[in-house]
Amino acid sequence: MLSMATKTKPRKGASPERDEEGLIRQAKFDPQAFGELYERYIKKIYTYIYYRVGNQADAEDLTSRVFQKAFVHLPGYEHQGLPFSAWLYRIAHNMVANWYRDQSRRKVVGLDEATRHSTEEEPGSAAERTAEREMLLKIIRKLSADKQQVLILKFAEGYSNTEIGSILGKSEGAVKSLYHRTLLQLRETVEKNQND
Amino acid sequence: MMREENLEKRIQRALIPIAPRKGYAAALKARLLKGTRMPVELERNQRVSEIITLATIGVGAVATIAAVATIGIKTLSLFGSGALLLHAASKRRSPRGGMKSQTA
Repeated sequence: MLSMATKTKPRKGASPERDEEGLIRQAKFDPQAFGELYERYIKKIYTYIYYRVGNQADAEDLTSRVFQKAFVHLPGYEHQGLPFSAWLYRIAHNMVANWYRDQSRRKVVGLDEATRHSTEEEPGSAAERTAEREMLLKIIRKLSADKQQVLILKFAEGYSNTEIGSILGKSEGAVKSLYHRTLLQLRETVEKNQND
Repeated sequence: MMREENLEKRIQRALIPIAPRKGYAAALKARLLKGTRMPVELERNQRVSEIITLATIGVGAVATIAAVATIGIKTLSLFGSGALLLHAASKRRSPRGGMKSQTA
């Protein structure tokens, strides 16, 4: 398994001056250090959960639960070279899976909610872009969980294949292959949707 | 035209990073950290209280065993002395036998 500790570049919003391992060790005793970890990952975890569940209320609820769980279980966390985010994403993934089981139905982002977050719309094509986005999100949400994860981590979070691999516990090659299959499936479904 | 655009670009536009509602992140952070003791501290306190509980149970068990043993010994000695008294009384109540034994 590739070690992410040496390969991960400091990302936007992170404090490069503090190494993650030291921060995690400190966070087990110091709430302020946990607060710093929280600040680093809150947006990423929220974005991930938001795109998985498709609505703000549940995304907020599940994000709270992820960080509460992380806070409670932090003393038992052992740094094994993987990024801390991998642990958080795993918690989030399990939370989302449980949420789907409890809901026994899949929610789809409503048009108003999907467009609420679009900020860079060109006035002329706003409606067309909104419809396009809505359609893509619907299709993405129908993909399998691991395919959704790859897309969200790649596009919404900006992770590289190597980073996604360490988060999902897969090799870079496996991620590439999964991504390729995801794109093929998406292209097929999008074309089918547009022809209908 | 949008349809001919690269699919990856379209996904990129659909999956934009999303910031949580204003005030949500700060409120959650406050809820997590404000007035909350760290789990390690809680664990340590829990361990101390567990040790105290175990010690209390241990002392209680020893005291109970000692009490039962004392009662047992007392009962046995009571029975023992009772038996001796009965034996002596029975000897005193049978004069013939007593006389016999005395003359013998």
